[in-house]
Amino acid sequence: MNDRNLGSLESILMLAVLRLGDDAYGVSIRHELLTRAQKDVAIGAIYTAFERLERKGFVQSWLGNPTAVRGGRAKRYYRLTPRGLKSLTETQRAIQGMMVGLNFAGGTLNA
Amino acid sequence: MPEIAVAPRWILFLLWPFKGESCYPQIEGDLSEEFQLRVSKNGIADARQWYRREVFRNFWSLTWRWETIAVIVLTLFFVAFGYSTFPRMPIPFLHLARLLEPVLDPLLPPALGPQPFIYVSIRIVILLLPTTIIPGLSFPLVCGALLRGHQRMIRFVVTAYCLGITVLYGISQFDTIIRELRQWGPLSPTVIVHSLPLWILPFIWVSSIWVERHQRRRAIA
Repeated sequence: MNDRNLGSLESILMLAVLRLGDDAYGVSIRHELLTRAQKDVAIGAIYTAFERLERKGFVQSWLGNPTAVRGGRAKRYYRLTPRGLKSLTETQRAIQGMMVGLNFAGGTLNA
Repeated sequence: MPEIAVAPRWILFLLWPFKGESCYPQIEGDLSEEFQLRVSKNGIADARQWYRREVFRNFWSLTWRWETIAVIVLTLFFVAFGYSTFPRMPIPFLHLARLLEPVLDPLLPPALGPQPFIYVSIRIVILLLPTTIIPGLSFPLVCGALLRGHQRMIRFVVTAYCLGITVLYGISQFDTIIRELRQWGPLSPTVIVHSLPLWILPFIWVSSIWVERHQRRRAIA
């Protein structure tokens, strides 16, 4: 598989990182997915997807400071790399191109 | 300062095999943070229920990945291989002894008369080197290169396999072992031979912990 391809969860995660800006870490990303995409994803699945994206060079991560409320564990923040942004744009363009002429109103396809 | 509620952390034992992975501290931290948010919003009972459910969900999501499945398949292969040769003789890890015995036997000094205990002991040590010590030290190194961050899972499955196969050997030769224990004590030949699969565990654990620490230091750097 081409490592420039993005899965649906990967695309949504990258969009969440874009939306959250400097505050993109596990809990805030999970909330963004829940409120905006109505997707209740386990935190382990989110980190697994981010590890994949990091290996592809689409995101960068860094550790914040540990806090008491997190049991002394640090937050891991994410941001998109230029390569990731390009790949996301290409994927979104491809999806939008394929959507032209299709009408999904009411949750069903009305050709 | 508001009091911090305590999450039912005992349930985290489910995630023990994944503790060596780089994302584990963040998973634990995120669960704690969201637990505190839920305590202030919905109360402690709801938050505790949510915490337990989320640990289960994370257990499944971390298990159903190709890396974890690869470790399980690798272990099942060892188990199937071990049990397929089980009826013939108790053999140490990877059953190399059986293959190496004909090669090593001519290299050993010939025994004069009935084989003395020292001769048997030297023979066992020489057999342990290529069958137990070297594979035990190198197995985590190979797995560490192929499956980064899964040393705990590797230790867990290999220990379960070695214990399982030893118990099976023990059950199959129970009468002989009891008879020899009464006659010879714990150093009876059958006990030594039947516990061979366990002998690899210290080497696996030492090497695996070293690989885990080395990988963690490199990740931090």
